[in-house]
Amino acid sequence: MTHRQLQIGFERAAKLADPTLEIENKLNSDTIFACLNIGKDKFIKTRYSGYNSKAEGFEETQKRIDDLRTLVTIEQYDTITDNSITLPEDYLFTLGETASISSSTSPCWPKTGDTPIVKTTDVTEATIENVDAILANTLSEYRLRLNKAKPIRLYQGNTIKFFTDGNYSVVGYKLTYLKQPMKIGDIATLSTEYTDLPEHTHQEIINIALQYYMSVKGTPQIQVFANEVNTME
Amino acid sequence: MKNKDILTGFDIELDKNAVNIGISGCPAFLPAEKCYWLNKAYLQLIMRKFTGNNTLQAGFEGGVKRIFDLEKLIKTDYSLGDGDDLLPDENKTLLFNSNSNTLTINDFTKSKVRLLFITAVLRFGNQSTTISLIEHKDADKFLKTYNNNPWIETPVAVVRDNKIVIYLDTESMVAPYRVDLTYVKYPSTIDYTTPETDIIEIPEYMWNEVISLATLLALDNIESQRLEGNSELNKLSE
Repeated sequence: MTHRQLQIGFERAAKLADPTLEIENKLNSDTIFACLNIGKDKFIKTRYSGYNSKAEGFEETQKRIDDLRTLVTIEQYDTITDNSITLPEDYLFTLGETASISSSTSPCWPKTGDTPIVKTTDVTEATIENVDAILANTLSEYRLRLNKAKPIRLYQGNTIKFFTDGNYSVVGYKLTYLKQPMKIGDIATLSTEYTDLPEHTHQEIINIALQYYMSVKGTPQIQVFANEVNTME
Repeated sequence: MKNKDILTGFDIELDKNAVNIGISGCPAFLPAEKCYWLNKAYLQLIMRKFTGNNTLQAGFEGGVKRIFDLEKLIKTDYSLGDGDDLLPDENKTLLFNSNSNTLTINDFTKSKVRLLFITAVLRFGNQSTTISLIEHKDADKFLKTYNNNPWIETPVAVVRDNKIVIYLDTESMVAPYRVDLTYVKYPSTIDYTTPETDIIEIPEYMWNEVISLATLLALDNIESQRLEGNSELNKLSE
């Protein structure tokens, strides 16, 4: 659907539920797009988290994969400065990650000629609360052992910080994440196709937006749209 | 009916009623005065039949008789806007405001040709859609502004300053535009200087209604307790 078709889909259904929206109480487009964007955000979050009528999160079923597949983005960082990277501007939720490590100090680290090789590895997830405990743990996986290590990864603000035991360093990082889709209606020409989410999700977003609008308005038709949201997938 | 027949009808009805006018009961109106009463009655009757402010409380198309009362006065001007491209803005029949989403029909009455708006059809490309009149207080919701790019399924319009301002959806209705305008024609003037002119824009039977009303208006003016009578008549004048 185009941005305009999403707007029409919302307004047409709203008019059927409340005929005064035809002329006397016609909604302006900013209000409609605000509802649609709320519906879109709610759609993404509930499909990601599993807080939905089917209790299925992202990648639990093919439907859930298809719901959000267009938002899956990979960002490759080939340069790590001060053991940290800055999250992409359109970052929403992390799906997966891979760190690249190398060591120029460890005598056992394999080399190609004189150049130490780069290995890819998982990370050790840490939080602000437990990062110190992990750092103090002599048996933690972040310590280089047998040429293997999983550097500690910690989210702080808009950055991701890495911690190593000093015997190796993080030289690259690949972040797979859900991106924030573009706003509906925030565009000069509304006839442009909205491609950030698949076509099959558009009507679901409209229904969630209508459900939100009806709940704010306190109209009895809210139950109709609640049922629509629950039954249309 | 010809002008002379209309005036004769007025004379007959007034003479029969006007027992107190003049010495011999002869109507004391000049021809121009008779035309004044007849034209007033003619216009008033058309308005009453159009709005429904009449005994039957039936407006235009409120019944078969109402349709036939007025059908010859209903006209449509097709493809307004044709030939506008070569004209300066002030002379255009249709003027599209590219900064907004309004299309204006200039000079609605067209120097007393059009009396009342009935409906209009907007043509764009090979498609068309109807235009309906709405109130000014609602029209602003259809105006394209910095925070409103409305979807307008069928264009709406308001009338102001002898213009019809149409609000349309520029996303789905793309220029060039043309408008077919349906309206009630301004009625012809009854003129005693052209007695042979035949006015055929209303059915013959309606002329009797016009003459009766003109007589009523004229007699009320000269004979009755004016304040009381006129106030009753004024109620019917719209």
